[in-house]
This record gives sequence, structure tokens and C-alpha cells, in this order.
Amino acid sequence: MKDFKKVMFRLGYNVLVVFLSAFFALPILWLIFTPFNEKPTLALEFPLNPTLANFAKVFANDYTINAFQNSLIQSFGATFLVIILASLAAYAFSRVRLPGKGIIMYILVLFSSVVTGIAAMVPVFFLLLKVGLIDTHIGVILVFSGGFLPTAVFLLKDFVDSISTTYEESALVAGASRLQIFKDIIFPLTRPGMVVVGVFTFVQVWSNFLIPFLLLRSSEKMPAAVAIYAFTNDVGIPKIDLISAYSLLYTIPVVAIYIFTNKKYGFRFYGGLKG
Amino acid sequence: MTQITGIKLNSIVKRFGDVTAVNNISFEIKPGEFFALLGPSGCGKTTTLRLIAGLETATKGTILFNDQDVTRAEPKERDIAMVFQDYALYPHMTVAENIGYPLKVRKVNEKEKAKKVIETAKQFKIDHLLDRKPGQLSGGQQQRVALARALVHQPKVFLFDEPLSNLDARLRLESRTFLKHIQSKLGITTIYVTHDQAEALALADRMAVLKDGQIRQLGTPQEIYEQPADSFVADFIGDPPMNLIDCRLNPIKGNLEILFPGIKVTIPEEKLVLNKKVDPKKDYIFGIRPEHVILADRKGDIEGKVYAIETLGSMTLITLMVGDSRVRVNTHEMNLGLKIEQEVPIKLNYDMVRIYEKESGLLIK
Ligand SMILES: Nc1ncnc2c1ncn2[C@@H]1O[C@H](COP(=O)(O)OP(=O)(O)OP(=O)(O)O)[C@@H](O)[C@H]1O
Ligand SMILES: [Mg+2]
Repeated sequence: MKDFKKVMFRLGYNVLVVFLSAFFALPILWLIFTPFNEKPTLALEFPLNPTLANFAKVFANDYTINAFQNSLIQSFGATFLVIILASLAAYAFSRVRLPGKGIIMYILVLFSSVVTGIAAMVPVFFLLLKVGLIDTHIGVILVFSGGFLPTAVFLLKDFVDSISTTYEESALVAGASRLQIFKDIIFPLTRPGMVVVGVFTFVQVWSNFLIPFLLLRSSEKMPAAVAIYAFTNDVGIPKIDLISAYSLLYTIPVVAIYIFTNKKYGFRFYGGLKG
Repeated sequence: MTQITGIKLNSIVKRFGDVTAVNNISFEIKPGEFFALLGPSGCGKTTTLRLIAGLETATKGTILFNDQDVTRAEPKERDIAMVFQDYALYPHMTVAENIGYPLKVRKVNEKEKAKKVIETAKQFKIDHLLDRKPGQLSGGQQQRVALARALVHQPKVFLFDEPLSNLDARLRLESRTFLKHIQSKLGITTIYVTHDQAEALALADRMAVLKDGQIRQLGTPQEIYEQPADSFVADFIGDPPMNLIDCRLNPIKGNLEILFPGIKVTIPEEKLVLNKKVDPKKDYIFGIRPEHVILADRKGDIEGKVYAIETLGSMTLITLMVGDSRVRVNTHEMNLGLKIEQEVPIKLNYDMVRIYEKESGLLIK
């Protein structure tokens, strides 16, 4: 009796695991297989006669290729801006003795999600309109940077905190300037943190729909995340063949960035280095 | 060779908020001298060193390098080198890059830099480690790299903050000797911070003993060892430490009565000449180093009772109960055939006896 109960439990457990795995794996499998089918549908079909025709159709469309370029500009732009500004700010926050700097930090982090959130979109829109940055890449990049900077500073400050100040002091005594110290010591030692922050920003910007959709007007500036909505026919029925191929292409940069950075630097969520 | 620099501190005060880390310190270091700053934890040694390095700015007072005022100068204008307690080797650079860093920031060209780095590394016998990262070195090797990095640009002044305290006992001794050798050979003015009195005595040409941000005594190691200026220095310097026994002094008709707890000794007045008139109602401290207490054969000044015998290799440390006080005796004789609780006569070398006022701690003999 006891054995039977045990077996049933194991069986139930395994069925649950299989079910859950399938649940999460299905969309991914669909994403990988569907674009290679001759007639893609919403059902998961293994491509028996794999074809690249769907990709050819995507590449034939100037608008979609242009959208990829826009995505790259906006994502890399925001990523670089965030990394550079956040590392400088984190250095200052970590090293300068400032009364109440902990509180400033928390308030910034707390409110930063508002900047890229829906609630603030109307004021942000008007702000950009006033300064003439509506429908520009710069406008999109600045809004994203503003939203992610506080979190990035918060993460990086932890890295800088873990770098002993004697490194800087020994360099100072050796005759280095502040800028040299930042370049030669602080920057290389916080690089693992910058990588984490950079990948985080890149992925967030790459996959964001709302902000570029609202802040950009002309279709030739829209990034891939927005462009994907253009793949419908005249009566609004989605073109699965284009969408499937495009979706797969859309995920490639993100996956590539993860693999590249993980290989080159390895993801680390704490600061300091040994060896 | 580099220009040899003398250093002068005039009435230096350094406050952090309401903490006074350095409280009116003045001293002068002669060109080429090995100068030690010694004192217990928190007495302001590191702060003094950092003031000289330019990593802190004095609240009051001036610092001169060769009569040139550097009180407010940036560290890089002072042409100094500093070795930190944790060495502060850059973990992402190789040993060669670490050693070459002071040259890199001075924009020395690559060829000359490489040459200097190898030259210096050879001098410190670490030229086989040049491609490694600091994390792959032993403590002793890291220390040598730190020294090499400090010396590579031939600084005018060499600053050390407890550079040996992270090493084990054997290596510490070896590194100490090495340091002394290098400093004597190069003749660079050196300031060395330590809380280890043996290290200061061994290395320094002259030294300052600090307590609570003030200098208690300034002098050569020998002066400080033989004639500690107050009871704090007397207690701090020496291993095994000086015997310091509370006593009362009572002059009677050409004689001096010394009243120890539980025992009294009477000696002719001229054996212990004090530079202040004694007050029989005041408490004094009687100080004598363990090597100046001598085990007598037959008749001694006082009797003691053996409390413990410890063999320290080259010498024997005997602790006696004299009256109610413990007295340490240090002797080179090894087989004394003493037993615990045994009564032994001892003689005191009165020339080397120091008397302090209990209240002020001041030396009166
Ligand atoms: N940056 C600082 N802010 C506030 N107080 C400080 C600072 N640096 C040192 N102090 C205080 O000044 C006093 C002297 O410190 P210092 O580091 O010079 O002592 P030290 O003699 O080097 O001691 P140790 O042997 O423990 O290294 C201490 O009371 C210390 O707490
Ligand atoms: Mg210290």
C-alpha cells in the first residue's frame, strides 16, 4: 500500500514536470521551427522540407531591415550612455562622503521605474515635444537612459564599494591623476558590473514596444519591436510567414549578446577581483 | 642617484570631525634616515604617514620637504612611494604591469620602462614572476612586488605602513632584514609605521613613540630602550617587557628606603640619584629591565621566590615573586638548576634602574 502511494506520487510528479516543461518549451519550439515551414501556421509543425523562403521575404522588405538598424541604434545608444554615465556616477556615489547619499540613492531607484512606465508617458511626451526631441533616436535613447540609470548606478556602486580605496591611493601616490586612476584601475575592476548593466539595458531597450511607439512618429525610425506590428494584410490578419521569420531574427541579437558576454566576461553579480 | 630629502613636521594637527587623530606633532627626519613611527593601535601613526604622503591634509601646521612647503601639495607633486599594509597590488595587472605602473603614469617610454621593470624585479628576485597576476603569488612574493613597484621610479621618500604585518613570523624576520639591507644600500629617506616595537628597534636609525596622537619620546632605539621617557614608553618597549613595580620612596639619613608591596629595600642614597626631591607620600614606579636583574650567588640585594621558568632558546626567562610583585629575570645561562618555589638572592643593576612618578608617568631617574 505504501509502495503504491509512493509510485503514484512519483508518477504524478513526473507528469507535472513534463506538462510544465512542455508548456514553456512549446512557444520556443514554435519560434525555432515555424519560420522554416513552407506554409507557417500558428500550430507547431516540424519543417519536413525546410525552406528559407520566409526569410527571403523578410529581407526583401526595406522597412523591416531598416527597423533592425533602428533597434540597434537605440539599444546600443542607450546601453553606452547608461554604462558611461552610471559608472562615473557610481564612482562618485561610492567615494564621495555626502550626507544623506543613501537616501538620494533609494529615492532615485524608487522613482526611476516611473520614467519608463506608462503613467509618465504623457508628461515625457510633452517634455520631448517642448525640447524638440519627439521623433528622434536621441529622444528615445535619453528616455531609456533616464529610466535605467538609477538602477544601473545602484548596481555599479556596489561593485565600486568593493574595490579597496588603497588601490586608488597607491596610484595617487605613484603619481597618477584622477582620470588615469579611473581608466587604469576603477574601470577594469568594475567591468564585470558594467557588463551586467549593459546587457540588462540592451535587452530592455531592444524588447520595449511602448516608448518608441509613442515617442517616434515616422515609420522609418521605428525599431523592430514596433515594426513587427506592420505584418498584417489589408484587413488586419497577421501574416504568420513573415512574423515567424521576423521573430526568430528579432531574438538573435539578444541571444548573441548573452552568449558573447558570458563567454568573454562571465556574468558576475558581485564586485572585486582576485587574480 | 636620487636627490636625498629631509622632512620636517611643524606642529601638525589633524582632526576628523571631533576626533583628533594627530595632536600637535613636530619632528625632523634627516636626509637618508630610516625613521620609525611606533605606537599602539589608534595612536595616529597611519594618519601621520598619510599626511606626509599627501593623502590627507593637515588641519594645522606645516610639512616641509627640504625646506620646501608641501603641506597642501598633491601626492604626485611630492615624488614619494608608499607601501600599504595590504600591498594594494592591482589585481587585474600582471606583476610587470604593476611594477611598471609608476613609470606608465610618468609617461616613460616603453623600452626604458621594460628595462627598468626587469632591472628592479631582478634586484628583488621576482623576475621569474613577471607574467603572473598578484592573486597567484604568495604573501612574501606580493610584498616584494609591492616594494619593487614603490622603488622603480626612485622616489625621494619611501613610506611604509606596517608592510610586514601580513607575513608569518619567519618571513617577517627575513623581509625585515631585506628591507634594512635595501634601505641602507639606496639611502632613501624612509618613514616606517609599525605597532611592533621589536620591528622599530631593529630597523630604525631614529624613532618616535606615539600615544593618543602625541609624541611621547623621540630618539635612537638605544636611547628609547635604555631611558624610556615615561612609564608608557617603558611599558611599551622591550620584550620581555620591563619590570615596573609600584613603590614608595623614603629618604632616611643618607639612605633611601624603597617600599615595594610586601618588602622593603634600603640602599645608600648615592646609588639612586634622583633629579627631583622625593616625596614619601607620593607613589612611584620602579622600573628595571629583566636583563638588569642578576641572579646572585650568595648575598644579594633582595630575595625572590621562583614562580616560573621559561626557556626561550638562547636565554631563560625566570619569573620571581619579590614581596607581592612579580619580577622577570632574563639570563643567558641555561642550566641554573632552579626549582619552583626556591628562594634565590638577586642583585639589581642600579645604574639601569628607572624611577617614574606614578601620577604623571614622568622619568625622574
Ligand atoms: N578617515 C577618518 N575618519 C575619522 N576618523 C579617523 C579617520 N582616519 C583615522 N581616524 C581616527 O584617527 C585615529 C588614529 O587613526 P590611525 O589610523 O592614524 O591610527 P593607527 O595608529 O594607524 O592605528 P593602527 O595601528 O590600528 O593602524 C583613530 O582614532 C581613528 O579612528
Ligand atoms: Mg594604521
